[in-house]
Amino acid sequence: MSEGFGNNDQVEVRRVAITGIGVIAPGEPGRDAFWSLITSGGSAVRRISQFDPSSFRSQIAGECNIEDDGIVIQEFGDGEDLSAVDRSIRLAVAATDEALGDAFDSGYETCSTSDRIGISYGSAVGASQRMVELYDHFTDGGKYWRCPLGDKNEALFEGLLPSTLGACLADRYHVNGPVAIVSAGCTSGLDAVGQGAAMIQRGESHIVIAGGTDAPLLPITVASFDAIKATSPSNKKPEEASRPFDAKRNGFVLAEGAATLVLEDLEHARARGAHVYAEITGFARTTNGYHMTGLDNEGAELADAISKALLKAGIKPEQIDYVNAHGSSTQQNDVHETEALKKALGEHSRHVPISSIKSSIGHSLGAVGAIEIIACVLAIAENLVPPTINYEIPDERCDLDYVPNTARRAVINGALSTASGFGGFQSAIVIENPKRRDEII
Amino acid sequence: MRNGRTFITQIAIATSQGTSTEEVWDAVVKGRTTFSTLEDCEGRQILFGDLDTERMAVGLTERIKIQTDPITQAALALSDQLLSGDNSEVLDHRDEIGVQLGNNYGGLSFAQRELTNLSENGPGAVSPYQSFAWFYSVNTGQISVRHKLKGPSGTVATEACSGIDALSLANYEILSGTDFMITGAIDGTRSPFGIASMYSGTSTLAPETAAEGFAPYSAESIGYVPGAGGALLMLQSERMTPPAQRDIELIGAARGFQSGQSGNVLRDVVERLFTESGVTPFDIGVVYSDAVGVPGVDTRERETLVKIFGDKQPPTTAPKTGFGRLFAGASAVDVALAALTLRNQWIPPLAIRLGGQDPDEHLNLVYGEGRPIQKDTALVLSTGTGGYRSAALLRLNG
Repeated sequence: MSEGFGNNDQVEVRRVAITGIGVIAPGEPGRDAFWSLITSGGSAVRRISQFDPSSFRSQIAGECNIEDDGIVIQEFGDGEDLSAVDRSIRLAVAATDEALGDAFDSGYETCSTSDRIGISYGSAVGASQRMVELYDHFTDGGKYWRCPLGDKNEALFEGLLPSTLGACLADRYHVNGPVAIVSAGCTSGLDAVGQGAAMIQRGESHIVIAGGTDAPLLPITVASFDAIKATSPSNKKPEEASRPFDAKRNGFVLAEGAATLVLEDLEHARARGAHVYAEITGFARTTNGYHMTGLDNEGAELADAISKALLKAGIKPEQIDYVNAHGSSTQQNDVHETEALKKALGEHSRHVPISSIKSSIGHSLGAVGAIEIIACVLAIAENLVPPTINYEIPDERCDLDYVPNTARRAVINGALSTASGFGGFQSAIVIENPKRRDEII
Repeated sequence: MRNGRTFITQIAIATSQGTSTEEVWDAVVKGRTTFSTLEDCEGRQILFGDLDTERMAVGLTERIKIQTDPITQAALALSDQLLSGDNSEVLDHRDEIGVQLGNNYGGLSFAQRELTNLSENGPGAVSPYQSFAWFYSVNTGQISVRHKLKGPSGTVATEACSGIDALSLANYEILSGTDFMITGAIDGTRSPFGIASMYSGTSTLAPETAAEGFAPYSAESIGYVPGAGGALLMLQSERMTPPAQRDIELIGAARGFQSGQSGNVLRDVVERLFTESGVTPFDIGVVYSDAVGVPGVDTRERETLVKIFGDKQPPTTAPKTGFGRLFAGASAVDVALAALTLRNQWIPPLAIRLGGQDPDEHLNLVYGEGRPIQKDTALVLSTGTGGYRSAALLRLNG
């Protein structure tokens, strides 16, 4: 059995509410802009502007329209200078400011002193931007292999630590409970939310700031994915490059972003009169033990994660009304995932709407799992399934309902989100409408 | 189904003192100091607890070596040690074995090499393995792929607390029904860029300072010596652990965060752990302290110990004074050594170079030749840069 929670063992467990959401996804910042983009069939993929991509195979990305010095809302912080931290941290701060503002019209300060607040935040390549900047500075652009051990430069120490993300968030939001930076390749964001929910489930925290962030749009990252032809070379039409489940898909589109969910003990949330968007009811993770980057066509381990997440939620496949797929737009993944959904959901896999919002926003590594959970939350709130855009030519190996190109109205009480990452990591999470959950419980 | 208790059944350690558990234990019992000297581009010398990764990688194929950082190669070698011999039977359950590790620097040597490749030769020269060889979960992924493990897996990055926090997360998996979890951390990098990073921390020794500068709890101490290394441990559920392998029990682990305005979170973490596990301060037979070596930091840790134990201080040791502070690997090694302390009934001392007399009147530091343990429970403490605080409790079952 995987890490997670549920009441399948008949032990009374704490329910995990989502009471606030914040998104900095490619395109315009904020959750409203994000939702509008992915439900309108738009794309935020464009030619990379953060450096000159001319010499790279893949020259496109999902970029956030947000300036570094404009993203920090000084509502919770003490006016601290975040200009020297990794862009991934600044994106996370912006998403978290929005999420906490959403969850607490006022009163966060009271909670932060009276309750145990934790952080569970995911990142696949965390401090990569600072790593490159500091490398350039201390090796003079790579001239020196040995670096000078000059005066102590705390930036060179903390700048390389992935844990600096957690420390920055904890300081800014006066966190006193457990803080964890979760890293599991491209399942980091989903895993961080799942593990954050487990922190509430276990009673470690009353409130958890959970999410994911990554800002990998750097020459070294683009070059490394070029080398294995994992990313799309469709540079002439960037907005059409990410095409999950389409027969002409030719790789994922790299992106940046961050998303934060405020997770809260349901009783705690209801006691303070908070709006509860949804509940997280099941989470599971496995590994495929197969290959660091490759996937087989069977999807057995992802199917296993999905089945365990459903088991922990205590619901049947038929109670899933929407699947937000990993849908990375690589040949391998989309076949692998289709098979996994068939195995785990059975006949229901042929009836449930499945979509990949990476078609609109690309793949932001350790962030996108959290972004996709928010897509599920909003899908439940709005009873609207965001589409898979750029879906034109069916692939006979991918033969499910991928909600092509146009959003679809549907009653959504239960949603499933999946993730798959380098290293063989496979994860699944179940999000449900709290009203239905009340009926089930 | 929930499993009742968690046991540590296998241990594999590698530090500058050795590349096997036996070598490391022998060295820490003797209080050896094993620091090497490295030079920067200007000829300035620093001390480093250097792990012999080349020796550890001897059993790996070239196909694996070309795609991995030296520290990942060491992690794979440790995993081989953990799953070899009598313990290879657990691989019959490989579909249920998870890997929950801690990490900090990832594969930074690999990354520096590829950054240089990119700088000198352009994008086409970058290794295809760069896409995963440097990221923080590389050790976790490579171990699961090498041994075809399919259980719940991931990585936690909380600086020096990563080792205990990984143990804590792995324990939750066991309590939730997983029967086998590989946990721990191995960290540190010998890349020049990484060395420069390590030596940029305010708590590291200044260049050209002798090892005597790393003398935790003494007035002369000015910082720590960084190093590379770590430990992997096999956690097993009660139901899958034969009685003969139940000698070391993981009672629990806890974590917190010391943000600016809160009180003494490390103390809160330890006291919560005591309360939840029914352990009292009187039960503790040894403390593996964090022993950073910076007077202000040591003072805060001393205050924590005094608050918890009062005038009945248990023996407190810090063998890391002999092999250095290993970042994510630090608390994993401390947990592993604490387990060996219980199993072997002997508390290894702080590095023998620090002398035989306890200079700290408040604590009960183990100097000199070590001593037998008198009680069957061990406490391990860790503090991580930024505010991370963690603790673990282990017990010997008679």
